This record gives sequence, structure tokens and C-alpha cells, in this order.
Amino acid sequence: MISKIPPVVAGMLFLTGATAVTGAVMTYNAGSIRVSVEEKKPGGDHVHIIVPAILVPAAMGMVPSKELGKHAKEIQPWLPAIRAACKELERTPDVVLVEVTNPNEHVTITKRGGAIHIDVVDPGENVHVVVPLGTIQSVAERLAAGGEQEGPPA
Amino acid sequence: MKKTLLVLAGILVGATMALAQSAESWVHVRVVSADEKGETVKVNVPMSLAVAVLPAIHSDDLHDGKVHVRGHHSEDIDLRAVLEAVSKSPDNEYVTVESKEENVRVAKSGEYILIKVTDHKGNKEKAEQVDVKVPMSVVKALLTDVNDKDELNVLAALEALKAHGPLDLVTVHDGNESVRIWVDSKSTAD
Repeated sequence: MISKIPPVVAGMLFLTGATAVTGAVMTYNAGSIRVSVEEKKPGGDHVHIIVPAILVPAAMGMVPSKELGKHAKEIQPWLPAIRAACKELERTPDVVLVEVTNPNEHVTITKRGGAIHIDVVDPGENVHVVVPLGTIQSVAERLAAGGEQEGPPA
Repeated sequence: MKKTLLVLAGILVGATMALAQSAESWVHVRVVSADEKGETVKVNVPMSLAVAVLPAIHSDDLHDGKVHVRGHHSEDIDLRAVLEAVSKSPDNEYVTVESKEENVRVAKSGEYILIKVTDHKGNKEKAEQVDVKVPMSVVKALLTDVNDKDELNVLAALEALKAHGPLDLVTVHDGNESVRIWVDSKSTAD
């Protein structure tokens, strides 16, 4: 059966398969940004967004450099600290970094695996955000690089 | 023989991992409010994170892990000279200030500097009590490798704190709120 497949088609099938596997592995390694908002009122919205983190740098590449430049000046001084924090958090065991509890709200910021999880539970909605540490660093780097393209800060 | 070596290697790896885990120090902050909001805030930060991030922060008064103490009448006081003198002195209560609004006591006890502030603003029932306990090693570290009298080496102090081990650093109590800042080897506050 396999021997009947023309070599060109077999090659294309192999390439497609290899690309899909490579993409899956890259996506798995980079992780995903997940945002989930569930309104508690009857008929409330449930929004779940999953974006492969690998797409973020590409998406940022579409933002006009003028726009990036505005934030670059603010983020540049903090870039070394962000880098150091992300690197250190990567090797930190999983932990609840911040927890705020009051009768109306419960907020946690947790380091779990290679990501930061932010959970907010209040009477109106549940919000769950997951951002891979690598994405935080890469977004910060991209923002700072945007400023360099614009020229050094005044 | 191979089996024995594997078992030994396993034990070695396990022991190294256990040692590495126990070596990590954590700074914990807990704020418990007893007012109608009833809010509790817990913060757990690995000391290694603070040590890694601090030198990378360059803001107005903080550079390379060193902070310039401006204001707070620091121009009138040679903070380094005071701390240095205290570190070399025998145990004693060095500062006692008693006024209608607050009492302040600074003492040296063994390897610690103890600071106790009671702020009652004339109302003793709602007094705010602040207790600070700082190891002498941390005080000495604050003064190492600094360039002028208004500079304190916070990074060196953090390293000294990390080496010191478990410690209650700050506790604050008033009628409505309590704050505790402490260091231990656990990643959770509870």
C-alpha cells in the first residue's frame, strides 16, 4: 500500500507531519496564555481564551513600533530586574506568592510549573489568568527592543 | 556492585536535593486586618529571588543593591557611625525616648538589635506596637562596601539574613491590624 504512494506525495506528507509535530513541541515548550472569565450572574458570559505563547512575539511584531516605543521607555530600566526575576522564578518551587482574602474577594498569585497563575474570585465573577514566565520575559524584551528601534530615551 | 553504586548515587542525589531545598530561605509577610473589611494579605518570597532581583533594580535611591538613605534627618546623623558604634558596644538599652505620643527603645541584646516603638498618640487603648529584631550580622552587612555615609548595602544585608536562618524580623500590632514579617525555610506562611 505504502509503496503505491508517489514519492512526491509521501515527501509532502512527511514534511506536513514533521512541521505539525515540531509546531506542537514548540507550542508545548513555550506553553499557553490562558484567560478565563466566568460571570456568576444567570446567563452571564463565560469567556475562555487560550493563546499559544509562541504566537505572542509574532503578534507583538505587528504592533506599530511607535506604540511599542511609548512603553519601552518605561520598561527599559526594569528589564534587568524582570529578567532576573523570571530566571529565578523558573527554578523556584511551586508556591503561592501572594494571597489576599477578604469577605468579598480571594486573590492569589501563584508560581506553578513554568507559569504565573492569577486567580480572582469575587461575588461577580471568577477570573483565571495563566502566563508562562518565558512569555513575561519575551514581552518585556520585545517592548524594550521597540524603544531601541525608536531611538534611545531622551 | 553496579546495584550498590546505583543505590549510593540515588542516596547522594536525594541528600543533595534535600539539602538544596532546606537551604532556601523565604521571606513571609502577613497582614491581618480585624476591621469590617477583615482582609488578610500573605506574601511569600524566596530570598534567592530578592537577592537576584535587587542588584538589577536601578531607581532613584537604589542602585546595585545599595540604597541611599535621604531625608529622615539622615543629613544630621552619621548612620554608619551609629550602627558601627552599636555593633562594637556591649548589651544595653541605647536609646529611650518617652513622649506623650510615642515611646521608642533601641537595645542591643546578644547578637540582635531590638527596636521597640509604641505609638499611642495620647490614646493608650489604641496603641500601635512595632517590634523589630535585626541580627548584628545584618547590621554589619548593611555597612559593608559602601561609598558614603548615607548608603546602606541592602543586598549584603539580605545575604546575611539568608545565612542567619529563621527569624521574626518585624511585628506590628494596633487595635485593628497586625503585621508580621519573618524569615524561615518554609515556602508557605501556614
